[in-house]
Amino acid sequence: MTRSESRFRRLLALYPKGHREEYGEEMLGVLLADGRTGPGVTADLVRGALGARFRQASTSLREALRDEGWRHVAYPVHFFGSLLLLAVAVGRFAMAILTMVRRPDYDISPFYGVDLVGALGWAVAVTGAVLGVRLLGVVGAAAGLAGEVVVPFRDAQVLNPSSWIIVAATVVLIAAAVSVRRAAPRGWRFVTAAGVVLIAQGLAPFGLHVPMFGLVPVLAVIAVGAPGLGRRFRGLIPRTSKGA
Amino acid sequence: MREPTFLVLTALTGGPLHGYAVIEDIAGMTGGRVRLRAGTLYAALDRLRAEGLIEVDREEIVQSRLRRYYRLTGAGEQSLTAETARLRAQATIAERRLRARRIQLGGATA
Repeated sequence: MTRSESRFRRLLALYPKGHREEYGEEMLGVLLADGRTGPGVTADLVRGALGARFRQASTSLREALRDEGWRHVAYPVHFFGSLLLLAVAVGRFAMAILTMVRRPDYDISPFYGVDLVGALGWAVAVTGAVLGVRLLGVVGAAAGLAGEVVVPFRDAQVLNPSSWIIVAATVVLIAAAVSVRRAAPRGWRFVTAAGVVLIAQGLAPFGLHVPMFGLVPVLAVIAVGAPGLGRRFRGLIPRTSKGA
Repeated sequence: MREPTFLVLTALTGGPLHGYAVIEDIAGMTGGRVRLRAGTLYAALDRLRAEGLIEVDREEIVQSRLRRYYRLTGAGEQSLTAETARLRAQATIAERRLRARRIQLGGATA
């Protein structure tokens, strides 16, 4: 093996494996026949190798996004994320209404307007997830996200950890755009029950923040979840994946 | 369409060629102005194959090295035809404006 050949082989090793297998020997033949050496050839091969790697990476990413598995994973993010953000929005809306009731002289109309849009947006996003209608999910999540973006500008002096909510709302919007609903998502009863608890907690400022009120959704979670849990523990010898 | 891609398709219009012959043909048709390097050539060949504009014609082993011949496909011919028409239209516009400019400048100096 000549010096040129071993140098070209080292440079060709920079290409991804698939490209090397397809064109490696052929390119080596062309490089040797061409006879040009020097930094121009080196730069050209390095650029070509980087380009091939980039094309391969982007192809893999596109294939991964086409994969239905990712879309199924996105569904719980869409469903539970919308529920969680609905709970937060309902809580804010409830707080605004409560303030309006307690202080009728104080104009808070801009407050509940934004909160109402946010809460309705997330409610629509949840509905889209339940019905498996992507357009509803995306439109609702977009409206919800718009509401979350407005909130920090409005609530300058109100305690509002909204930056993480905006990030979460963006993630949920992306999930809503790509998610695909399976016939019966596993554990949907738990997710629904948890959502009920969260929304109920959001309503707590209404003055209903009493132990019994908090107990009801917790009991609901247990009531809904217990049969499923029991079945799971009993069913250590499962025959079918029925139920959940 | 980038110039190397256009030139590779043009080179293959004359019939199937192997990689090094494509380099030589392009150098010949451009009067030595463009002499593609292997990295650029194979980036173009790989992309054109993926797009279905060229395909492998045959393979040979010459001096114990693989030599693969590429040929233009029907889609490649259509793509090159469209690009040639686009470039011709642009060149016509440029020619017309240059002619008008020369007439204008000629009138001004006269």
